[in-house]
Amino acid sequence: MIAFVVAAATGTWPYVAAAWAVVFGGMGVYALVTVVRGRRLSKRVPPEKRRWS
Amino acid sequence: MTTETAGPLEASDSGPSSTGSRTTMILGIVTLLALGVLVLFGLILSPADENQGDAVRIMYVHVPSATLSYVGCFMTAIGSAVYLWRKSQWWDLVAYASAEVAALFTAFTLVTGMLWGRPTWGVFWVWDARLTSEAMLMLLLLGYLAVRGLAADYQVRAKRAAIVGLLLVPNVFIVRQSVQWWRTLHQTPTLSLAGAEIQGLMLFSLFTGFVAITLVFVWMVIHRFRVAWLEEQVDAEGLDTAIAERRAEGVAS
Amino acid sequence: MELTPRTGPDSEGGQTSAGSPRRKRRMSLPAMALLVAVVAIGGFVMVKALGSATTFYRNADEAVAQHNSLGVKRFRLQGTVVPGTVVQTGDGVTFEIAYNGVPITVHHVGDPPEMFKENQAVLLEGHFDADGTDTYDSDLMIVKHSEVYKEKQKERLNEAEVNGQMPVTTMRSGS
Repeated sequence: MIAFVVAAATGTWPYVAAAWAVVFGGMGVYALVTVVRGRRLSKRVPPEKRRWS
Repeated sequence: MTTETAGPLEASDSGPSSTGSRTTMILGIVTLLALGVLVLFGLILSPADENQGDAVRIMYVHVPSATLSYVGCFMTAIGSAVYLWRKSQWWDLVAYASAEVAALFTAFTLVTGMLWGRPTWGVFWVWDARLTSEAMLMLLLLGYLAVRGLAADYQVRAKRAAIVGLLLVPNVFIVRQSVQWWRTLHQTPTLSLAGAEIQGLMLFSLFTGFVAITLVFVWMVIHRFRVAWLEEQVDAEGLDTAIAERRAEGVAS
Repeated sequence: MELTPRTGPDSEGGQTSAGSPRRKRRMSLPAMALLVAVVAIGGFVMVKALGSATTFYRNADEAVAQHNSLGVKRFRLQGTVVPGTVVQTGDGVTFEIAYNGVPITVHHVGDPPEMFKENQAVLLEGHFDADGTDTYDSDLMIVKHSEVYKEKQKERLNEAEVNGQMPVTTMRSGS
């Protein structure tokens, strides 16, 4: 376990971790922001105009 | 009146209180599962590369991000073309939603590309034809979004944006062909009609990347489209409630 | 006219004139600033692209052929590291690169990238030495890896690790 952590902190792993974190974090934040915007806007729009098929 | 019909949203027959629907809920669950599989294969099960070591794992998010950003650009161009032709708001909003998601994935492509470049090439960035044209694509997408944000009537904004949207296709084509047309630091495509320069679990990991990121893309475009649609409804509502009421009867489906 | 989708531009033409609530919601100043920034950066990128992207590098054989016109001008050089020529120096590394069988001796100042090794294509930034020989003084080295990926073999893992991290072990101690 310790060896794994040490190995993960050296060489190319920090770059791999950073790249994946940017993509997964970015997707998560964007998804969240979009859903929240949708919920807020939904309150201001009559229901017959937001029936998603 | 709008206030009456929009009233309490708790009732089950009052329409969804978000941009989610049964379809996007299922799609979202499948997407999360696919992302889990991508992590499993991309970071754990797939082997390190002979030359690049573990840095090769960045490819499993970099290449699908780039591919889906191209898809988003094409969707924007198609939406723009149909808007200019038919003045269809539906297609304009498809173009808008796709452009924003494409910009997000282009940003991912640039950032993961830099983080891949440093441990392999030794530098984060060079101004070769591939990287330069990709940077131009990012700027064009930001330009598209900026044009949409300029104060103007809806039709003026949509028309300006559509013209910028059409330019995305030649730019994507230049990005794609840059490694063939010019001398670049960036390597030529690993996957092509001639075959794959990658095998086994590495190829499978790349495949899971394509599947997962495609699902994310579809989920995002659907939700972003619905947000854009709701925005236009809110705008229209303030314009003339009576007209909005009358129109709603003809459109609600 | 912009109330609903699938309606033509024919209806309610007068509704979008001044006073439309849309105008209030759109924040035009940040968008304008973004647009100006995009155009400015775009121009910069275009200049950069036209200046350097199309002739991004010269291969070793071309550089030798153009030696006279290049002089000591700065340019990018590409070639493959010739096996058995890599020698570590006090401030960097000396080696030969070749392209189409034409070699150039490179004096590189600075640490080579981790992926630097024999038979590896590299991209260098620098210029020909002032003494007129086909010797190139480099201060920036970039590894140009291929689009081919291959699984690292488990049984060779340890050896590969040593070689990968310590390219020096494959270098000759003198020439």
